[in-house]
Amino acid sequence: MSELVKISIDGQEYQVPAGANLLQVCLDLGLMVPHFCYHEALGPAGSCRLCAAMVAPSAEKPAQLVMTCMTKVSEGMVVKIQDPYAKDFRRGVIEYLMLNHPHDCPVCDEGGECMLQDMTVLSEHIHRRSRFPKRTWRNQYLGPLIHHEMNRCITCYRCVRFYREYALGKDLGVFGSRDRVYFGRVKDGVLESEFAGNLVDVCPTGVFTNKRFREVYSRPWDLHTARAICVHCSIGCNLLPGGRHRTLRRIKPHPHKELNRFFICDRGRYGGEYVNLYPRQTRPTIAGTEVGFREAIHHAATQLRGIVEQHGTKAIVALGSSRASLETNAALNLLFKALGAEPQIVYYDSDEEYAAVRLAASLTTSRAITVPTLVEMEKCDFVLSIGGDLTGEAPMFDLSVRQAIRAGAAFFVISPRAGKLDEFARSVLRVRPDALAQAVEKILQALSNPAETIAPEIADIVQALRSAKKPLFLCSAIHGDVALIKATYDLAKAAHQENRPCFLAYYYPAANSVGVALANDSLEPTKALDLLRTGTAKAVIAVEHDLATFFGNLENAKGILEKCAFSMIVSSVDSIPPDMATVWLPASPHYLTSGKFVNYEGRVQHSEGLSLATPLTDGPADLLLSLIEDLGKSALLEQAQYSDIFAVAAEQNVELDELTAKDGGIFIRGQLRPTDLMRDSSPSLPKREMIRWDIIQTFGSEELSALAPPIAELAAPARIEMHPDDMAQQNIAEGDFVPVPDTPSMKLKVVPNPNLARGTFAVPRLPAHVASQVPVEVQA
Amino acid sequence: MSEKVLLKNIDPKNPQPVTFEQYVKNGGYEGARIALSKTPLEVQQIVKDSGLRGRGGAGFPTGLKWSFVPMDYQGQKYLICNCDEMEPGTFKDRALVYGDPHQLIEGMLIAAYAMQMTKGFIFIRYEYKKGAEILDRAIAEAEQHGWLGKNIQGSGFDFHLETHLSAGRYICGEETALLNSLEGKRANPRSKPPFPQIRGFLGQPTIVNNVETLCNIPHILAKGPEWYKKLGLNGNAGTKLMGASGRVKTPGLWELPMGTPLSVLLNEYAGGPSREFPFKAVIPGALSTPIFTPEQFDTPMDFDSVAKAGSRLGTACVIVFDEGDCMVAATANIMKFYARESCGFCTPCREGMQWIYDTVCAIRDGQGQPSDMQVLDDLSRHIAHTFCAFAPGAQDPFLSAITKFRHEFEEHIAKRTCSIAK
Repeated sequence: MSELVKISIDGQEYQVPAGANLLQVCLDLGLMVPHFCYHEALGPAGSCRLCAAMVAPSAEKPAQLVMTCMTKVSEGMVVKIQDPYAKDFRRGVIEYLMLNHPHDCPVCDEGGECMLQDMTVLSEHIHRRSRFPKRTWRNQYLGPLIHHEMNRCITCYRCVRFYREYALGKDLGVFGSRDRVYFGRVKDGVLESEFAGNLVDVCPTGVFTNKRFREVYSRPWDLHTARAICVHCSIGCNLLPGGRHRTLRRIKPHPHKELNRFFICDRGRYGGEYVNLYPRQTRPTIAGTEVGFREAIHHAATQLRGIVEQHGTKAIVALGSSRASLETNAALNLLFKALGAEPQIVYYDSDEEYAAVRLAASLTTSRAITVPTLVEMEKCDFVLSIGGDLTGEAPMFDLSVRQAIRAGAAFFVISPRAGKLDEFARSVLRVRPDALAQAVEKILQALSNPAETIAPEIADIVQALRSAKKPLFLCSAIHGDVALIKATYDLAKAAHQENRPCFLAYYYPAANSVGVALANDSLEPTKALDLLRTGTAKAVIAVEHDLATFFGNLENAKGILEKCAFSMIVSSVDSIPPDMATVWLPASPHYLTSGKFVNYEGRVQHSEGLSLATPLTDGPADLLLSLIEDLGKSALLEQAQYSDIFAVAAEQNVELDELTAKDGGIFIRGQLRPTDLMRDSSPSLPKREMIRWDIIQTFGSEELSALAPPIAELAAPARIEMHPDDMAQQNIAEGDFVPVPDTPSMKLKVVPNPNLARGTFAVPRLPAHVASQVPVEVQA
Repeated sequence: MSEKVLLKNIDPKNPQPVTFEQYVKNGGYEGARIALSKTPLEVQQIVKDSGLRGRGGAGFPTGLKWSFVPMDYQGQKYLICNCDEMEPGTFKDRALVYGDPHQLIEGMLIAAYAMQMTKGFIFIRYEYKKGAEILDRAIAEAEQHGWLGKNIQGSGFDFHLETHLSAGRYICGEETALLNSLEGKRANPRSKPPFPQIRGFLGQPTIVNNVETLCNIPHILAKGPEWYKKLGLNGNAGTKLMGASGRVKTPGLWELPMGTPLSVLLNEYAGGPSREFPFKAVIPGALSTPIFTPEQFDTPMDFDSVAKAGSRLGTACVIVFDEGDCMVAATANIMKFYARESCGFCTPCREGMQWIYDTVCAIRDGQGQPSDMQVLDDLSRHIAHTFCAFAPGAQDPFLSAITKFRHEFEEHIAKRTCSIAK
């Protein structure tokens, strides 16, 4: 705790931390000093001159007009916010800002949440005295996410300070001088930063507004809001979706003091729009015929009961979902219990993913590793990013790492393909996907045996790691590399010292990957496939899980479903065509339904649902519970405990039950033992000459957000990337079509990428249900 | 005529830059030779003892400024010469750079040695492109003769010097904006503290000195602080380049003892009024200083006396108005410059200057309204509280214009025309 000093503000005494920013002190005390350029995350700039107050170092000394944002508090300071001279100055500043600001408030998008309106009222500028023409600007096209309206600019510099200084972006700048300062790009074009959407929030006026929101505009005070958790990656950012009438209109970040304090990525901000469009078949069907919900549910219950009676307790296989809530997955588990069947639930699309995610999640939730919050990441002085592209796979990690880099952290990357953060790396180890674990092991060896000569490419890393005070390892659990998960754990453990804790965070494929990794009844994908292929299983249920992805493609899925006596899909998005399943139960999507999600830290957070007048009211969990009720097993629901279904400490059952969105989450105490999983873990990927690497794109790779029109617009075209030397060796020219490894039926255009490891085919990961909609250059 | 120090090598009739040989023949590099034989702190002390004050306009004691540079600092330190002479009415640094480049180089070498700075830049405005070429040639000569580069004259001291041609904005003369500009960033001033002496160019300790300041250094070293102190009048140290422009018969630039009265400059050197009208006003320190009226013309031109009389010595290049000049039109002209040169960073300056300019133009053109004076009064107060010294610099002539010549503004508003300008 810092030392406290006594200061006086407008005659009132306060104890405040010594050296704190005077403006922030006032704001924290609830004293509203007007301001623009100051932002808690961006700090002071001193450019708007609005936060002026009369300040004297002590009661005896004369007071001076100072900018409170540029002033640090000290013992005995006397502050007068309401001094007439200061008030006159602040009124003047607003008058100057309004000289060129249009008077379009009644029709402005920012109306109702405009900081300039608030500050104008607060500063008591009422009457316009200037009679000279206002300066006008031409606006720019900045892409599908952000609308530009430069006439409203009051030149507070917040946008560029966020974009360039905070997010380390390059393509938004300041141009011109005097009273003609322009904020924009050199040329019209899509803003390059994945965090550009935050301009909407940092801009105090309506220069940068949410382009999607303004298309179907609502006054902000007319929006219904809910405290939700982002569903588009495993970080668990807190959001405030706003909806009106039948649709979700926009998503804003909701500050969480340890996670997203101020900002979110554009995938989170714009990805939620899918809920307005999907599912398109909003009535349940039985064999393609539309029926009522009650009928469909009763039909499914009867069929499933019949199958268990006829074929035994192992006749049903279900697909759970790592992007659905704990409640949804628990309901699926309870359905098996209600049917008297053995829960045979698979959550993953491959055995590799099963092994990697479960090991990482068990290390996380058993607290074998120290997992940092986003805020803690920003304070690390050594960052090693291993086996993934942060910008695409865990976007807000990227933004936190940028803060560490700004503060001087030594940043290193080990990955098969260059990501956007690589330009800030001290060095990059470009290795094949199947050599990642080996590269990490080499660092461990060098760290453990100081006597050994270290390979030059890792000498830098080892040296920086040795001298670091707060090292951080970030490792992808998205590419199914269990050996890498283990190697990174070993490295972090070896680097961990009592007086120097090491942070390690794994990041996962989906919002609830860590939660479902703790599910007690988790079947390996190949075992589930065997059960279905051999006909041992007679029925298949898919809950918020795309069957086409699971079975590789739509054709395979169709073949399997035809073999089954019964199939049911419970989904909030268009999965495979509904008529391919015996029963189709459309569900209300995330943001409109509530549930709990476990993020990369093992933090359980409750996501509230917006209540909108949409055609669907029940989420997947509600539909499954109705099924259980129809089976006459409601009693099961009352007895159900989290610890029966998930490997969590039984003492946490009540806590989990009572968790609300306001709590900031609780850390789950997982009971899955990492040592058991390490023994189980099979050797990594087999050795092949050319190996596939999935590019996880910020826009277009994540299942749900990829359905949102602005995200789909930003998705890069499907392609196969190859190292130019590999292309030369294999006589492949740029633009040739080659079959996608592991999916030979699809051919894609080759694009050379010199920043790709040799021996690697890099292909963007596209969710199966999106692949047909995202423009893909397919040649038969 | 007093002793010429800074301009002694320069022949106004033959405006060719002094070559290395001529410079050395006239006693050049003697100061540097003496400096290199002393310790850096001894050199600093000599400069302190001389009473030299910064010639950029602020008049801060040079030796004291130097002493803020940490001497035990291990990393790179920088010496920067501010030759962004964009103050309207000022052309003194130009004369020094175009006429006697080695004098500046020698001054920089001594300053660099005194603060153990091994890298220096001369930040020169774009319009002085020819001056930069002259300096580049002189730097090459100095390198050739071992007065720049590695191991200067066998002393073990290295000093590398280069010129940087500015893209040209008035704000680049503000030392922190200059540093940003030199780093390739927007020329916005930085907040102080930290001062450049601690964190300047590229975050390293940096001294920014004016051309004329640096040109004094070789002579102080060569002839000693006692000699230097006696050059001025009334206990002021050194000579000062003084200029005059506007309604004077012979505009020009002279090297005069510090403390020479303004009236002497105006009448003896500048030849008195150029038209039939008597002098009405003088801006004593080029543009960014409060205006003097005839009752202040006896003020000695030194830092303290001018300050005592209510203005600032600034660059000591005076701008002169006579009774045939309309001060409203003059104010409009002045504010046009400030409105144009504002860097656009902070609100009162960015928006205020243009509003002042628009309002003063309206008054000048007979479109003024009585309420305009209230607007101007409000603005004249508020522009004092800006991020850097640019707007307070503009406030000086502006506030004194609307105070001392308020009747002219009011007459324009009342009569809706100008009856003064001739």
